[in-house]
Amino acid sequence: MSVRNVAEKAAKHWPVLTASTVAAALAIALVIVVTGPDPAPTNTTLMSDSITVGVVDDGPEFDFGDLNPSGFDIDVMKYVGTQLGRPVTPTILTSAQRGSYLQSHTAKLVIATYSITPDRNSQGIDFAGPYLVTPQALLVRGSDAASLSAPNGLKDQKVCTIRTTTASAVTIPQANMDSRADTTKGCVDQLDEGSATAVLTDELVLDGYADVSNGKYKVILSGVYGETQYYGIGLLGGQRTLCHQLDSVIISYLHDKWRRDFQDTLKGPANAPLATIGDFEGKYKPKDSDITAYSCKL
Amino acid sequence: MAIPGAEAAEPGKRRLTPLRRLDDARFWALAGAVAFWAILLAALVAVKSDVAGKVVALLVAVSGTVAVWFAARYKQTTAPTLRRAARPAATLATLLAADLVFSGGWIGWSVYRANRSFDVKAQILISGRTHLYPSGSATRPEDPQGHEVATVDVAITHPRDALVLVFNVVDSFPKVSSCTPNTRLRLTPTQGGNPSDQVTATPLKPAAIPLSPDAKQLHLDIQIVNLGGDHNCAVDIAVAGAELTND
Repeated sequence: MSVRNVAEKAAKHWPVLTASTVAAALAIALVIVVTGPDPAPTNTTLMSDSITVGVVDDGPEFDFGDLNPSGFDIDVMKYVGTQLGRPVTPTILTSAQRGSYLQSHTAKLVIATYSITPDRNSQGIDFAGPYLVTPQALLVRGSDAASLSAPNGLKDQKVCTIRTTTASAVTIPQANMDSRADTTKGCVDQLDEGSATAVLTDELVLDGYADVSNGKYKVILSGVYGETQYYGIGLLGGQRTLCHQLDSVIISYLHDKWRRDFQDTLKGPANAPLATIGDFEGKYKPKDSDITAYSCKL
Repeated sequence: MAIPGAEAAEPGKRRLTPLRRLDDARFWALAGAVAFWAILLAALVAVKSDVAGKVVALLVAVSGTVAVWFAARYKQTTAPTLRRAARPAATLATLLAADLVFSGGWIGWSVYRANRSFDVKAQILISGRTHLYPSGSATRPEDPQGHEVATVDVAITHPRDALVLVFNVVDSFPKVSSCTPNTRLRLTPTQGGNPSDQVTATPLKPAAIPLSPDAKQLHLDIQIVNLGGDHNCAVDIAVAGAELTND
């Protein structure tokens, strides 16, 4: 058979071969789709081009600035994006919106001084981490620090807390806990105006305000009231694979980059004397066992 | 001494041993006495004695069975006139074997009964179980439900080596933080008015409190330890399981 004959024969049968091939390919694809495992919801989350991460913008040294946000949480966000191999897009929210942004799928993750609590777990919010540990404390005007630190110093004093945050559920004996604001800055504004005497929230958040205030504010009574907070990366429950992926990223972060980022961003606590603990890591850095104990409950 | 009923030895005949010369009536009287004694002994120790006594009874029953069986076989094979002894011998051996099974079973049951675990969760009395704070809390004094020590009391209804307790722990303030993963319970037992060594319990994991042999009542003081050093991490505790055990 000549080459020409072969070419003519192939050309004659080409439409039939093509149709058969396409039909077979479609059949195989259908079988794969029908019988293959369901894609995990976590994968669909991560397979999108960009991960939307909810961050706040009123936490000096944590999450600060709208156009070019910076701080410890922002460093964590960038590290997560790098490790997952996906670009991350920060979206600004308030502390009170953290849960609703996840529940409405407006944000895939929330990295915004978000404490792991059983109450949030019960609302369907899961956490990877923790990546940071902090006690709670009070921010006061520098001139009031000594008197408010004294025994019964907070009696009848107005203490502002941020709505929906963990501190808003704390009671300080004999203090007036009625003042509320939607953001940390809102409470600090009340402190400025004199409508509140102190702001109660997480010590590391308050350290940021104290650090940038040039002595105007001081942090007092760290760990005396409230409970220790464990900051995690918030995500909607039911995404175990993604949650464990994030845990692995956080463990890697704690070992590789945590210390340097802490020293670069949270300068006040990084340099504060901690005679009884020896180093800021002992106070603020989670242990690997904390991750097993606190994360991926849903 | 001549044995009544024994055959006289004659030249050219095999010399008979005392057992071969024993007549039927005396042989069975002797074997029956062995059986009766073994069964009586087993029955008595089954009701009265401790485990060691039951082991002795079991050994007696075993040796009695073996002795009667061999004696009957011996007489059957060496004294054809006494061949009829085979059936009563089998009956006697069966009785003694039954005694053997009974004694062995009784010992096994006794060992099980002496060591089996008893669930005493229903008998646990616990107080001060809510809003339990680690020592040094600044908020506890003003918490109307606050405690620094919870107590557990339980009657020791059966003598056992240990009381194994499992505690369930939940956060008193689930809106504020998660305390449970870092919470441990320090248990201080008191038996007969004497405090004994402290035991540290992890939530949802068994903690064994050793018991003295004559303990009738156990009192426990329970304090919270927070591994993160958080003095305000309050929890509510409950007893999820309580067993008296020798394990």
